[in-house]
Amino acid sequence: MIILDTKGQAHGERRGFSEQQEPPLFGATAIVSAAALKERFAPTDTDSLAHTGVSLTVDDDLSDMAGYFPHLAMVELVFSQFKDGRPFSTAVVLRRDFEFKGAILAAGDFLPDQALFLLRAGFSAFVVPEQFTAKQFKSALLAYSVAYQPGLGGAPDLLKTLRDPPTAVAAG
Amino acid sequence: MYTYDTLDKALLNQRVAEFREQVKRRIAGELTEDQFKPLRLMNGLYLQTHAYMLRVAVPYGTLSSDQMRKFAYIARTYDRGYGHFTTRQNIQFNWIELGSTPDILYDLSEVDLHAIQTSGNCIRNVTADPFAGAAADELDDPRVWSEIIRQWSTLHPEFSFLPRKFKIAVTGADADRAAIKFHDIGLKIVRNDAGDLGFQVFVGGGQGRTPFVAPLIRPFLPAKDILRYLDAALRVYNQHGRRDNIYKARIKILVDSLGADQFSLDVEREFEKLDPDLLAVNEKEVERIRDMFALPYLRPDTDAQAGLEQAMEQSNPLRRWCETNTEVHKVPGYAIATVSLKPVGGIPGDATADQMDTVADLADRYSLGEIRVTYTQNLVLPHVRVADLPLLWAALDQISLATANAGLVTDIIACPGLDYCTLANARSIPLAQRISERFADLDAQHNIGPLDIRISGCINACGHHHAGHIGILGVDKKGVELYQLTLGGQGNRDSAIGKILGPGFDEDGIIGAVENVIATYLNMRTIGETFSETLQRKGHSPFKERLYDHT
Amino acid sequence: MSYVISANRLLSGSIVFLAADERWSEQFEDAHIFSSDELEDAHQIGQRAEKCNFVIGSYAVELKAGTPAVPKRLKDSIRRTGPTVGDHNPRTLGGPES
Repeated sequence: MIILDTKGQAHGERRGFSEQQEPPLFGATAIVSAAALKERFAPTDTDSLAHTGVSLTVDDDLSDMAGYFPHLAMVELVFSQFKDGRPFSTAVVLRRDFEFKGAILAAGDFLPDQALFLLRAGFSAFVVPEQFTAKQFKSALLAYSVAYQPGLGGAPDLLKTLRDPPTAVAAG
Repeated sequence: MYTYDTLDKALLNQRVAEFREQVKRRIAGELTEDQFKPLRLMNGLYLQTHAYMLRVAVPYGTLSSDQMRKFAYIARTYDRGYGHFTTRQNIQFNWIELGSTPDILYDLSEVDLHAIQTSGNCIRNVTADPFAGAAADELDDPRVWSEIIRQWSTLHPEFSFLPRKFKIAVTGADADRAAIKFHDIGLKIVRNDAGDLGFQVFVGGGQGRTPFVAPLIRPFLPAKDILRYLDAALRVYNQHGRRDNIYKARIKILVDSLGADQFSLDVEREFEKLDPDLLAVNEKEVERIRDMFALPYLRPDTDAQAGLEQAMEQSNPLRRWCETNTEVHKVPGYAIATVSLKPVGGIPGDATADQMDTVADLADRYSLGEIRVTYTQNLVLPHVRVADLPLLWAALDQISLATANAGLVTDIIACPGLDYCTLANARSIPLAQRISERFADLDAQHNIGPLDIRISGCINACGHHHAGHIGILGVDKKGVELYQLTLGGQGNRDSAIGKILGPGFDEDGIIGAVENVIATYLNMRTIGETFSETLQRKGHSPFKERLYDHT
Repeated sequence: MSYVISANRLLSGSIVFLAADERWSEQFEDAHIFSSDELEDAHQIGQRAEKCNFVIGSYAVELKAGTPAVPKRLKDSIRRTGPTVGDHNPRTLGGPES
């Protein structure tokens, strides 16, 4: 499956969910499950973790892995279904509470129509689901030039932006 | 009123363009129905029993006359000449085509209206006191804060795919005309001892299958922290709300299972982690919005009441209308007038395109161009000179919108029910019609006094039956409509959930049961005692005995 | 037991019934009546039409015994004849016939 970053650039492919990643994906040469991460590595294995990504399901508990995140190359958050919006909050919390600076990949079942939300929640790239095309994602990323909330992705934060003066007061 | 600036407009235009593209992709088969459904729902478009239904937001229940005229235009051009005002202060059009919806949304955007997040598992459009900015008992205008919350919640990147829908209501008055404790989050504007403006935060109220009155989880939240606190509460809900069972997915179930204290602690912990400046409400922005809602100077007129008294001397119908359908305005000499959408035998909340146009004209002439929608499915003209009330009343009477029944037995809340809604198990509208015909006599209604009858056609409770003094819930029993009767609900400051009185009734039976309940009240009441007061004093038993021992 | 298959058109949202030759008709009277044995096949026709994005929400409407064919459930009767309340019939108001 094609990988597209939030600027619309292609980044190779994610072959199924195999562990080995060649060429490396956002610095990760291997992508492992939460269980494998905890089994094979200690949070102190910083050299190995720097080349490792972890793939998390919606049910994985981040606090279990707190010590790993500052050192991991990337985190993949797998949507079980596009209507389950937990990964949006997971991404926010990963960035804020777990000081994760690497790439966050969206994988699993999600829609191009969610691309901007993903970007603005802190995701860096999408594993484009098979039924959709990179083109659909690219055009979805351009759908809005403004947003009301602070967030990543370059849209002005309208809650903070100096707004136009009122054009009219109450009629009458 | 809030008017969109270039940035608001840009976002709205982009939203319309996005939906036009989504509709194209759906028709071309690039999106399956399963994928498209949540997208169309977040644009207010349902598939109902007979056709698509478009639910358009009336932001916090406030409309300009031009916006109302646009509704009339939509009703005429794309629908069958009418619209239905809902129990969430919105309007629904019942006969819409998918293919024309992008055009409708474009037309609406010309007057800053939209259908964004009027459905779907996201933060729904915020509701507020329909008397906002006019009520004499108001501490602050809830629309200022509702608009700030509207902006923050619109196309929220993190909170658009929640476990379930999420409803926020704001009141600035103690009387609570927004039923805030029946919302996922209810906000009451208060001042602390130091005189600072802030909110009491109630979380986890709701109706539906498992009704709850929301507990207070934050006694005082400084106003500037409102978005930070909402952000914290929504994140706790998005992460921990149940997603395995649709009936247990609302925040009320999370609050109930954790306990209000634990839930409150979880939110406080999240709140503390948030950068205090990131979502701090900008003073200048508050002032910008506040200025737009500010009432222009109205000259107090202390003599107006005497003139009205004279007019009422000559017209008993006018007197009755003024008694029930007008409220005290904060400026002496002005009044808040309720336009009843509950004519005898009519469909609660329905208005024709012609009626909408006329109400818009009357708003221009008598109410500074402003109109409100109430969750009780009526309209309000909020700033009417007392001296103009007789003229307004006469003009409303000409279009059958001057029924003097606000808050009385025929001011019935009813969901669309089985006649329109795919979720319904039984019809609600015909019951409302029959009850209002039964109690059509205005003298009798005024004699009965304040009484809320509320009817839902299924357990989702869009007709707010849990919060009715008399609540009626339609169920399906082996293919036959059956109606359960509850007594004792309240939708105001003293919110309460009604209790089921006994076994259900068929359609004829329920009309008789309502008559008997009211007759029982009339027999027992003391002078000046309302239905709720009698019920509180005597309890359910006398009503139960009357209904079930003699039938 | 006998059934007809009903759905809504994707584009207009209007109620339709599966007629002979896999056509969809706005008229209940055109609906093909399926026996219990034929129901599985009928469902498949409905689902094929959904896949082709002609209709959505196809389902089987159970009929009362006897003739003429009428739906058994009140909900389906209301779908067939329109709301039981109000004067909003398209033929009287000149609204879209869809």
